[in-house]
Amino acid sequence: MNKPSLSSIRAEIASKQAELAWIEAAGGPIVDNLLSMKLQLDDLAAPYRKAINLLALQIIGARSPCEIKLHEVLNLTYQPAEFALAAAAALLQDRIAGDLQVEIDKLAPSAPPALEDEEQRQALARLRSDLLGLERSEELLIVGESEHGSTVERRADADPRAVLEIPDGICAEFNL
Amino acid sequence: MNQITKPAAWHARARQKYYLLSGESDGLRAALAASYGRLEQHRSALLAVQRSRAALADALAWNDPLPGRDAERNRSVDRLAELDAEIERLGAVYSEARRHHENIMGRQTRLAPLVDACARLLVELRLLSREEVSL
Repeated sequence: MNKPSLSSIRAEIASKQAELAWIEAAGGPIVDNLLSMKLQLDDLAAPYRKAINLLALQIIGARSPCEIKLHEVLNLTYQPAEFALAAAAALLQDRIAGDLQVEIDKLAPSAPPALEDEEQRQALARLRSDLLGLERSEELLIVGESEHGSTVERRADADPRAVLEIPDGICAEFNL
Repeated sequence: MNQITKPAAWHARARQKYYLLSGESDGLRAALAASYGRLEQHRSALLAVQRSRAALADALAWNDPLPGRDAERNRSVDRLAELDAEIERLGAVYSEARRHHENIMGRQTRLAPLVDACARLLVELRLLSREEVSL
């Protein structure tokens, strides 16, 4: 079998690095994130629901229309913006969720795949191990070339473990 | 007994490779300083000739030829042509020197972070001290 050339190993390294960056950028499952967003929207809407409840109680219990204090119940004097925001969150919840889903459907195909934490950890570990293996092969070729009198420049982002030929597992022993 | 106290073959190999890389980086730094010096020399020489050429061209443009001084004027015109050729030559020399300088600078810029990363790893593995790698 032919020995791989330095350029082919470097091409593989670049491709593996790109894959690594892709997986590093992966988000968690969209369903979980959407659920968290829905809960936050509910939190945001809570003051509106509470105000409506108080207002309803006041209307039911009022002996005269003058007893109904809309500004007071909705706290419009001191926090009108908060009320408006809560009302928007409560009343537009479905609309917001729908818009979000459309945007997610549009963007998701060009984003890294959603991965659970464990899935991402395993994928990253496998890619890093593959990458280190490739970098070790690259270093062997560079050393071989230098033994034949040719100087090959190392990549600035070469892994020092590969360059210094530190055996596998040593860095883990040092928690590095 | 751990990795610090038990010398292994890879310890010496790692240190040896670090010293090689570090030496290469030091060499490039020295070469960079030398090439910068040469670059400055070439630049000064080029500027000096360009100034001489400008002064001579001014003199020729502003001084009407005196009767009977044609030979002198012709010598100045010839000298101008010589200076043009010299400027062209020095310009080429300067460009080559600059390319050489940038090449060394590029190599040093790529090598330095790798040497630093190797030094940090050796320190973390306690194979060399911080002082020994001048971090």
